[in-house]
Amino acid sequence: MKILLGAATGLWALCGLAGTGVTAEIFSEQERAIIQSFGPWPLSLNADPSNNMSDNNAAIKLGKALFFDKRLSKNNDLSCADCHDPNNSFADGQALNSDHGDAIRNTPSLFNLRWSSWFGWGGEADSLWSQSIRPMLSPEEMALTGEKLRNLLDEDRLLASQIQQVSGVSIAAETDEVLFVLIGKLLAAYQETLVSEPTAFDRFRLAQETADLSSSKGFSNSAKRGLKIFIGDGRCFLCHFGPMLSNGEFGDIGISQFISKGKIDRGRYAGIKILKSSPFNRLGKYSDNPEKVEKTRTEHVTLQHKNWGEFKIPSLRNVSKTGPYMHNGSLATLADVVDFYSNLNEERLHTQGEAILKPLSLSDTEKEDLLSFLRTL
Amino acid sequence: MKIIARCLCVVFLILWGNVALACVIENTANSLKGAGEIYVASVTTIPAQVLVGKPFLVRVSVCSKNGQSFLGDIKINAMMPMHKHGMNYKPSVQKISDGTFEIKGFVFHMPGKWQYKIDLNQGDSSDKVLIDYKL
Repeated sequence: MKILLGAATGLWALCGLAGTGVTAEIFSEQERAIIQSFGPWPLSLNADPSNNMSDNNAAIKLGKALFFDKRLSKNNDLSCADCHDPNNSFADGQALNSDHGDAIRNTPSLFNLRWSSWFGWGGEADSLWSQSIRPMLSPEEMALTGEKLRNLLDEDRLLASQIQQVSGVSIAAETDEVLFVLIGKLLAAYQETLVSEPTAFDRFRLAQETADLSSSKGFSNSAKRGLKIFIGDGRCFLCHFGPMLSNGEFGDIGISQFISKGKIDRGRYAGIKILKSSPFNRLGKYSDNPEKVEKTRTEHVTLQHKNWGEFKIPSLRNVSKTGPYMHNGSLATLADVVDFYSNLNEERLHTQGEAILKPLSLSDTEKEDLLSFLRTL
Repeated sequence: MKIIARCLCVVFLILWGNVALACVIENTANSLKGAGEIYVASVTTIPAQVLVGKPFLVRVSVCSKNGQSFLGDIKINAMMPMHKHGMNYKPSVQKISDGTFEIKGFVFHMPGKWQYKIDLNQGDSSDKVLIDYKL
């Protein structure tokens, strides 16, 4: 009954809007405040204090070369860019990548990661450099060993010399772990430069802020109605909050955790365990400038039963270009995502899951409006 | 006469002592106050403006309702009552002095109504203070 009432309320709000030439004036004071909270974009570009090579031009250049270097894989056949394709928003466009083994999670876009606090669908890493080490070591991905990496640096003296010069570390005397950390930090320095461009929505938000409504002409009335749903009855903005359109945390929205028969992806539950035991987390000896590094999250994150089956709430920036969707790529299109939330199966939600999740029960017009808005992000 | 003077002196000392010991909770411009059955408490955040998804410090100040100092310990957490979920982080409490505590590890990851829950324990007595906060 509550759902019906909610849907009825939503319809009531929309009845006066559909096809009536909606203007910015339809947004209440409170709605305008929420809209402003989605910007400005981009955010300020602060270096990561846990990575001494962050925002270093030489490190960025070297990190970019390494990003495309297949020699960082066991069989010299796989680089970071093979899955994080620059021509595909640094994702791969596949539900689950099967080009180099059977991935169990969807390949996320690498845009805007410099403003994340957690990395990976389960938040296994608390820094971009730490996350960059994971696929190199993963047997299912690049499967790089310390021996292979050391051989590479022995053979390519120019590369070894460049790494030493940029990092200030004499690599011959260092452990395998240190070598992986250096490569991870160089890769992170490059990935920090991957920032998505301002979008039609950003221009609309700015127009609202400056009251220059003429500069928001590319933002259709349908998109405005979709925005109304997003920040209103849809409650989407509670998780997809702020300029990143993600609060950076984790949620269980009822997507299947089963990988195959007998195999379960525990999501954040496993992620916290991996984070806590990792030598590469922000509390460890490889994190630079410990006095300047924000460590609150890593120190205080705590394993809870509710973490089981939670996955990272993704940023919605560029969302129309980063399908398939969800941690397991199970929803092929953005329309499928909207359908999913419209018909949300409450029985699949854990009792400790978000009580804010309810089926949106959207009409076809409302679905199209929401899609119109999402495509502007 | 001397006896009267001594009595007055004793009364004065008792009154002065009570005034000096009277416990007052922190009450800055951004302090939020709440009361349980036995104690009153205030919550003050640093920075004053809490931001969604950003860590912040909390200072808790506690006194008994009759103005006595709070000598016990506290546990504190926060939740969103309407969403039926808490934080993803477990705060750590450091006692600064009797009745004053500094807590690290707060991150409010959603906008909306949050509620601090402060459990107070002193000897055999316990109390609970709930304080609402709109983010």
